[in-house]
Amino acid sequence: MAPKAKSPLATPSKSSQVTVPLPRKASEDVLSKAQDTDTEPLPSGTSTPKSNSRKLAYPLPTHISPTTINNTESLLRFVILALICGAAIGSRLFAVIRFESVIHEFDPWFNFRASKVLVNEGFYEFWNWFDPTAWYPLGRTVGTTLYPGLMVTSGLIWHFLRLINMPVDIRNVCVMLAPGFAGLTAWATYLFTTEMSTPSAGLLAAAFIGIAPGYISRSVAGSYDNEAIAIFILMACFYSWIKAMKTGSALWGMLTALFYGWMVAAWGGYVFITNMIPLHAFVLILMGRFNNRLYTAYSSWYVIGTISSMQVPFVEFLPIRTSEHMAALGVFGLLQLIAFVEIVRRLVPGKQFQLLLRAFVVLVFVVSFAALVVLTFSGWIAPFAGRFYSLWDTGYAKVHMPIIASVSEHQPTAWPSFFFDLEMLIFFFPAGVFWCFKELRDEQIFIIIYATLSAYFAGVMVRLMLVITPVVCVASAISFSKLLEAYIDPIIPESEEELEEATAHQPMSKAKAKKIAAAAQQNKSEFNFTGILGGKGEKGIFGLDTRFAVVSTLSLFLFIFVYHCTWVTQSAYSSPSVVLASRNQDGSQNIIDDFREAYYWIRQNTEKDAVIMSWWDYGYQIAGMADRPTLVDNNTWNNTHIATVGKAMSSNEDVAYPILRKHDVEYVLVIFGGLLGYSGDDINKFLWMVRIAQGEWPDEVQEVNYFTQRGEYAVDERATPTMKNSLMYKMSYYRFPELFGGHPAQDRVRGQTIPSAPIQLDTLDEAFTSENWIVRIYQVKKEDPIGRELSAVSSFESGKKLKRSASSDTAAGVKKGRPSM
Amino acid sequence: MRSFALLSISAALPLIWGLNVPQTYINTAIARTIELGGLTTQVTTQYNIKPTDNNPGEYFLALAGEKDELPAWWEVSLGGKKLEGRLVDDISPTVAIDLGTTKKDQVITLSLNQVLAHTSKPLPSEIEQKDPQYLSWKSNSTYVDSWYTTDVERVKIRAPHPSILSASSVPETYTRDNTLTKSGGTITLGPFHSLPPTLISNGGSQKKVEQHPFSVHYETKDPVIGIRTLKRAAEVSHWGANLNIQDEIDLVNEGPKLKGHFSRLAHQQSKFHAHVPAQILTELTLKLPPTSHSTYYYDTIGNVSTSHFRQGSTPATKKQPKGVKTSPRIVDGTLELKPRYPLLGGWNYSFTIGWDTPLGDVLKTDEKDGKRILAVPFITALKDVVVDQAELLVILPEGASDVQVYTPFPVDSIEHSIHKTYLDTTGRYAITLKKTKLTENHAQNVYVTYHYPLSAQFQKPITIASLVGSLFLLGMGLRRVNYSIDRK
Repeated sequence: MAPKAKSPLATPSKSSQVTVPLPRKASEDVLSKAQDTDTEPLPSGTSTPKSNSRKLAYPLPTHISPTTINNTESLLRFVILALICGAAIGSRLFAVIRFESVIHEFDPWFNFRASKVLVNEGFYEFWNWFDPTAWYPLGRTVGTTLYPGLMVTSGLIWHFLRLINMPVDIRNVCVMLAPGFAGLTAWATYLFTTEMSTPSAGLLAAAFIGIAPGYISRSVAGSYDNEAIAIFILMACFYSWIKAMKTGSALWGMLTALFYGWMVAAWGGYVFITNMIPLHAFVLILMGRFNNRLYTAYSSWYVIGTISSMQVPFVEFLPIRTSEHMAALGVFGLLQLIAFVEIVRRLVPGKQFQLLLRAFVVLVFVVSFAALVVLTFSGWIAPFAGRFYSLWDTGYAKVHMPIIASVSEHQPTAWPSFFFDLEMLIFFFPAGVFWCFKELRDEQIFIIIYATLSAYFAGVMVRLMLVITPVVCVASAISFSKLLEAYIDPIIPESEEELEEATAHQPMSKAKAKKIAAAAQQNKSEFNFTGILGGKGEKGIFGLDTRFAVVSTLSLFLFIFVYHCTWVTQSAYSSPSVVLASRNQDGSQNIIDDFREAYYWIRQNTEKDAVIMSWWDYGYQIAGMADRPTLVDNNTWNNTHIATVGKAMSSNEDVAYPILRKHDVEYVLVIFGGLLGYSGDDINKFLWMVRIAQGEWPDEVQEVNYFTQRGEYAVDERATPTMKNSLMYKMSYYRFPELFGGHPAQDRVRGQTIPSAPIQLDTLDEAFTSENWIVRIYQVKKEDPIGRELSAVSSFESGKKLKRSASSDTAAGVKKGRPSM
Repeated sequence: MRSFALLSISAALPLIWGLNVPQTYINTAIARTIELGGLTTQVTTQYNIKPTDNNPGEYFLALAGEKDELPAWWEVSLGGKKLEGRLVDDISPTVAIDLGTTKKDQVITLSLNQVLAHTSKPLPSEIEQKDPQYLSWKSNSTYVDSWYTTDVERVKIRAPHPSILSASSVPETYTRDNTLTKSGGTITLGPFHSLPPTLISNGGSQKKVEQHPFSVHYETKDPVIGIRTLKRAAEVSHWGANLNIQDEIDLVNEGPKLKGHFSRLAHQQSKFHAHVPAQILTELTLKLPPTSHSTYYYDTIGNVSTSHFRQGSTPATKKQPKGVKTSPRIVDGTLELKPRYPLLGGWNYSFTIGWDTPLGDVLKTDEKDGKRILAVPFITALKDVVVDQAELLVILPEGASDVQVYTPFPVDSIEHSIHKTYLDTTGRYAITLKKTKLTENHAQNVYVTYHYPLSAQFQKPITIASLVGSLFLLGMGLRRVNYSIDRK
């Protein structure tokens, strides 16, 4: 504990050691050893005998044996961590308590359906599952086009529960999976942060990640999506990587690889790990910090990890065939080279030879990079995927991939959402990263790289807020705990006069004092932070009032953070979106269940093989809840097919009807929010249908035709004829004005008045409309048995009606019907 | 462990073929009232019979006509007392009743209650959303079927609504003044005089009446609801002092099928004018036991939020379990279920409901030998509804033994099995009862008796405690093992 004497104002506990300007290279091993002792951490100056000789701001209990303190601490840590896990799970249950144990949104419905197949029909059936009901009539080979990790995870949990005679419904396993794994994430984050800093920072980080809305947004109960388990695996993988890198243990490296394999099986975001770890290793090499531990850790991770990732059918040979994975391969090769060079250097002395070797390394690196480029251009290695490009150029998707751009979660992040999702953490985050710069041990470099990369990605795409959340929690927990430790630490620094006095009284330590003075002098010449951040100098915290002011402010921040998180979670992220809720005038909740009403109607009252056409958003829900074949769904792999649906929806009946008949469409389903004011309806998504259809048939569908001359998107009287004749418009507003009984028909989403002229549908019949008109289902008419046009049939029939009521001549009606007879 | 079921006597006895009915009785008067409904028809018949002999033997009561099916439910009573009889099946389902010692010319009044299922069919079979629904009731017999001569006979048919479109005619062979009288929703056939028997036993040579089919075409103002299958599971928990009953129901609107399509607009307008067409089922009300609580209602895709439960209440007792309301008198709980969508003709809707009942209300312990007697209702009565297939699964607590089942009416099958659920080790004793064609009269208790020793009560806690304990021990052991491959 020599450094302590050198800097009496040391920041509490361990961190004081690293303030000593030791040569970097040498410090590594010392530090990692010091880190090992961290696992039995010292409380911030509670009982060390040294502090007895110092002035204390407040009295501390004495005569407590270190063992007791240790045991109490580990018990407290365990209890606190357990409570944090409980809080993490509890705060995700709003949706279950408010609504019910139901699968949310869109993609989770597919995952749920796949899980049911896995559980009911066994693993091999699931692996080879060909789903003829999706992408009718193409079908989908589901087993090889999905990340099976999520379903396999919940399937294993389900089987385990069955094994111990706990027959839990697979739906409940799926619903509770995300909260359960959020608890595990808190635990993994604790371990990860403890590696970076102190266990107290670890506990704070666990608490932050447990309730941070940025993570809750994708892991509330019922949001059964890949991200639900991915963040846990991400943190566990990073933790074991740090552990492997610090200990140089192949076992930890293998564990990293297994977590990586799980991640690959679970989420497409595994590419983040694939590039994060090599980048970390590469930066360490560049900083001259290559050592055998890094070599062991990286090699064991890369080899086992790559092999395990190739077991996933959806990934297969991607790790050696695509550009996204080349960095990992390159760094692997580089490490081998450097290891080789290191060995040779140890055996062969001589400066020139070393130079030669270095040149050799550089040459091999350049040559292999060139080979990579050549392979890429010759087509052996696939270039970056389009989604990847859209990360660099946010305008790329809008031009080249309207489908990707049409998804709201692929939009660039608006800056308020950083505060919304992370609250005060976003301000503490840079401080934590700064602290990492100051320490700059191997593992802290990891945090810096992670922070930089994820900060960029989070800015590019809303959904990648998820990736930044863990590092924000870790970094801000570090800075937060540093602050708290500094201000809770009861040791009062001795001022210089006192110090001098002390030296005068104690001539023995004169030499020491000189040393300090010299060190201080030296420090002044360098660039240095003062105060707490500097960790040295004569400034420090003297009075109780300062401590109280800062600590109480920080506690207030924490309280507000909890309040904010709870509020955001319950108001923004806990809606299943399958079930909607509104408030009655007396404040009671009113459940709007139109989606399930309509889906269940389809499930119970239509033919089992009736093909349903809807916009792709609802594909998974229809397959999951209504159990019927769909034309397109949320797995948007076939742009042409989606564009076909878009064309059918945006064309008039004469164009749409052949498309519907060719695809055996029995029912067409549209979402209409005009009556209730549900803004996520199909008319609001209509322009994307038009755009996507235009991408395929620029001659037949044109976006401009759907805007008025003044460039407005109108559905009232001003609407263009193309708009008014489109299938989507007709299906949405069919008989809608009649509901108002002569009063102007108000569309509550768009705030426009729908013209009261009746809409005539020749090729479709209204089959079902849900209670609040949100879901409207139309049945496609069969061709007329005597070969007339369907429009002729309907005018014939309306003509007949005219005859009955007004006894006018039917000639017109009959005539219309005749030509095609 | 062997256990067996005692069935009610009538079903256990073999049916006798080649029936020979001695003409030892005459019916002095028969009055039959037929209440038409949706799927069920209630038939009440009063027989005034007179032995023609001093030792007449059994009276053979025909339950249906020639080659007809046995009614879904029937009961014979004499002066309000239920009579047991043996079922014989010849050319028509008949019950033979032993009336004990009777003297010649002593007049005995028997009454027969029957419920017939699926006797009415929608006609026309397809209607539009706003149209009224009509049913056609058909019977093979105009006269009351009997093995004996009848002096006077009258049949009244009551329709649920006065608008009767048509009814068949009746031959005037046995009538004197009135053959068919229609007043409001009631049709009266007869009275018929001096009717010969309608059924003749093998080798009989008496005069026989030719039966005529009879049909009524009438309107009904209630939706015609049928249940295709009903799976009830009743799970007993002694620890929770609870009986949970869960029904999986496949409901179907058996009225005339919807012609064309459903229009929400028209439906909402008719609701607005408080004139929803009779064929549309929007709500269903179930009566639950007064102490039932914690109801739930869901279907394949989740909870159905459109339901309302009004808890019943009972007079306060000393041992009042939690969650039970009290009131001076007994009030049944009502569960108002609204399907997700209105059920039009031909539409299906399947769902699951369930509720809890305090075990004290349905389970009694025999003080002498500690035997438990559990009462489980086979179905919950729904007026005018026929359950085509019913299955009752009674799950007894783990460790129950000597299980016996007593059913109030004959059932098709009883199976005994082991059911494994939450934290079971040896599994729970389960009994499955199956029966087809049930009506509201079948809403009776099935009694199950079993032994449940104290040791069985502690089986689960001990298992779990030992399991958790062994996990801790394992953890302790594992923590003390050094896995390191380094030798330090």
